[in-house]
Amino acid sequence: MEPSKSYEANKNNAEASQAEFNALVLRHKTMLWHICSDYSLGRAWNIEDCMQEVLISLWRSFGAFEGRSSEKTWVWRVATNTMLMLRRKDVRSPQTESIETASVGEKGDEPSDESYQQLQQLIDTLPEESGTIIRAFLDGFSYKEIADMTDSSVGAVAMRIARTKQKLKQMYERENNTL
Amino acid sequence: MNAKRNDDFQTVWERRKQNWQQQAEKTLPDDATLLRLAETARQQSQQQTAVVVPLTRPRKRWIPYAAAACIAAGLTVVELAHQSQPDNELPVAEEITVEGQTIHFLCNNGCSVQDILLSANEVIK
Repeated sequence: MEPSKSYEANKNNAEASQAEFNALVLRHKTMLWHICSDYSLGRAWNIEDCMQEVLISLWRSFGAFEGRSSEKTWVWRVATNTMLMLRRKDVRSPQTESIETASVGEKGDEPSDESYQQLQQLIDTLPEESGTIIRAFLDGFSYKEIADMTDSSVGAVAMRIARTKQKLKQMYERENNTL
Repeated sequence: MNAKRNDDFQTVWERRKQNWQQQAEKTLPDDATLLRLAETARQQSQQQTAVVVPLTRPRKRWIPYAAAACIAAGLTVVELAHQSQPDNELPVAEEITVEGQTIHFLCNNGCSVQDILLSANEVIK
């Protein structure tokens, strides 16, 4: 019967789609986890909860991905946008835990690299757009890819990164009294 | 004064650029856990009614396009609201309430009108 054929086709499509989505999650698992951890640093957020939110966003837009950018760029952008949205919500809500007592994850409580985390925290204090661009650069995206992500020119991105890096350097050195 | 003796900036900068994967892998859950999260995300995606769509900048003129997409899908736009954050802490947030579904339009990088429409269509599928 037609209805059952249609039902089977939909079911098969859904299963294929789920399999593709699972494969995508596993392909980009380290980057996704990194983005969630990065934005969770110093906040009373559970990284798995953040990952859940990111995966919801990814699943929602999964069918709309048209390959205009690389898959990696698209995944990075969706994950970053989701985390920025969570951060904005967090700013609006009262903090329930101080930075000193905030968990950075079930297995990530120990500061494995103090300087590394210090830099991460400084990046977190940057204005949102500068912070996003600098994170993209540090996560390995080229000037061209970042320019495409942000609708900017390659030159503007390069200048923005250089200026922001200089600003971070000053902040870092001021904190460490090494000037 | 609590002077720290940390690495010089360039060293830390390079380490952040080179080692972020290694850092993430220290706490990365196993594949089974990630797939469980993916499955839960799929289920929650169908249950959630509030959807957030990030934008490059708040553009009030884009709202009608998203609203039109909702109307085309048979939903009624019952409220068209415009919110500002106090004390200029955050960018303006644009909000459409669609029969119990709320679509927040917030400021962000890298999204275009096309993205909004795609997102709006995703919301109302």
